[in-house]
This record gives sequence, C-alpha cells and structure tokens, in this order.
Amino acid sequence: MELTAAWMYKSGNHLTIQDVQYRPLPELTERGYQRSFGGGYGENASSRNNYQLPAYHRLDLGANFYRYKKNGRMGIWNLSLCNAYFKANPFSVRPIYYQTEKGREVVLEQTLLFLFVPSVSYTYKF
Amino acid sequence: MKKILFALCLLLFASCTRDVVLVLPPVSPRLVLNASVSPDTDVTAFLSKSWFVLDTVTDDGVEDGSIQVFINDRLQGCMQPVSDSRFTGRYVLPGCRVRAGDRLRLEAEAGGFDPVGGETVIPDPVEVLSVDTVRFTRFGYGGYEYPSIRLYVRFRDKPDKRNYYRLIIEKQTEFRRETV
Repeated sequence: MELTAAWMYKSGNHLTIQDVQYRPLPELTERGYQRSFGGGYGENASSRNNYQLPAYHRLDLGANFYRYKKNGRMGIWNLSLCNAYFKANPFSVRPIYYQTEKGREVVLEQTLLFLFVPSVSYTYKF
Repeated sequence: MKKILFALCLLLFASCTRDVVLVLPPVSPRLVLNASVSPDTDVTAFLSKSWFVLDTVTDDGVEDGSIQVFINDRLQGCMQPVSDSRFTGRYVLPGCRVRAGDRLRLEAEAGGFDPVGGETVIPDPVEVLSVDTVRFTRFGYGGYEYPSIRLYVRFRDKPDKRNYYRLIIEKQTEFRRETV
C-alpha cells in the first residue's frame, strides 16, 4: 500500500476592476452639443491589475493498493481525492455593479465547480 | 446504495455561484478633458472630474479650471467657461477655429488636480460622393411591421491615412396641426 498527498498553493490572480467613472463627451449634432441619451457615463480603471483574488490552494490525497498475482503480474488499485478539504476555489469571477438603497456596490460573482473530485483507477501490469 | 450514489453524484457535480462584496480602496478624482473639434465651429471643450465607482456624484463639472489652446504649437489663448444649464464645465475660445492639417493641442489644469492634455491633427474633410435611402418594412415577432429606413453613404477612403469617421444621423419629427 502506498499513500500520497500533494498540497498546492498559488497566490491569487490579479484582475482589473473598473473603479473610476467619468462623464463622456456630449453628443455633437448639427445643432450643437446635446446631452447623450440616457445620461450615461464612462468607466475606467485607476490602474491595471488593481484587485487580487484570494489565494488558490487545495490538498490532493491518494492511495495505491498493490495486488500481486500468481503469475508475476500485478494489479494496482488507486483511490484518490482532489481538493480533500473542499476549498471553494472559484473557477471564474465576474464583477457586477449594483445600485442599492445604501449606495453603489461592487460584487464579485464567483462560479464554483466541482468542490472535490474523487477517482478510482485500476492498473494491470503484465 | 442508490441513495448513496445519488448523493455522491449531487456532491460531485455540484456547482454554484456566490457573491462577494468587494471592499475597494477609494480613488481620488482626476481631471477629465473632452473635446470634439470641427473646422466650422469654435474650439469647445468640456472639463470634468472622474469619481470613485462607489460614490454618488451630483455635479462633476469643473468650472474653475483653465484650458490653453495651441494650434501648430502656437498659443492661441485660454478658453473661457460658458454658462450652460445642461453642461457644467463647458469651455469655449471665441473666434478660434481650426483648419484641416492643423495640429491642435489642449492643456487643462485646475486646482487640486494633475494637469491633463490632448493633441490631434485635424483631418481633411471627407467628400461624400452620394447619399441614398431605401425604405423597407421589417417584420418582428407576432407579425408586427416596423417601417424602417436604410441609409447609404458613399465616400472615398484614403488608404494611406488612418482615419476615423463619425456619422451623425438625426431623426426629425414633424408635427402638423390638422385644420377643418
């Protein structure tokens, strides 16, 4: 029998959040400047990579069970578990801007996939 | 056994989204200089300030700034703020107009902000070869008919120059009083 464990740690990726807004140029028509329809605003980022996501880490565990055959051949059963402590690492993120009663709010929508992935495999050596 | 398998599958293929409210460090406002200049109008610009995304801004115009106008690296004067109920921070240099080929540079500054500026070359006017319209009916959901119009504009692009074109289409609605 053989036990394996691997721990992976990565510092969080950086992403650019648009944290600055500004008034765009009014619409220029034949009759002069007119306020743009809807009174919209432009968005910009104060700097690139201005936000860092949380760190990514997970623990993978595995066990190999060796079964020796009579004719000198060997079978190996493997059981493994990826992300053993169910760390919710986001697969993708998307910033969303909300207007609430208290004011504006920036929310990072995180999509989580596969909290843990177990696997079973069998190897036959001949 | 089936229940265990079902629960295992649920856990295996479980995915979800969660919302995390971001705590962003505030960003100090910066000066914003906007201008759209054409040869047939006085040089006009708009000076405003940017704001932090979580702030609510009621008035972003900057009226106590100064904008200097340079044409072909020669100072033409300092723009004057114009009172306009629709736009705060509107500046005009009366009598200052540009011609095709001029290099126009605007330099703006205001108290408490870093100065900003912008430079461009006034392009040659575009010769419009023809303008044509086609009326057609667009069918939407439920058989609704939308009377539509398609506009064709032909002009010759100069392949050796990098140009940007701005097409302004205005819709004019005419009201008539019916008399008996």
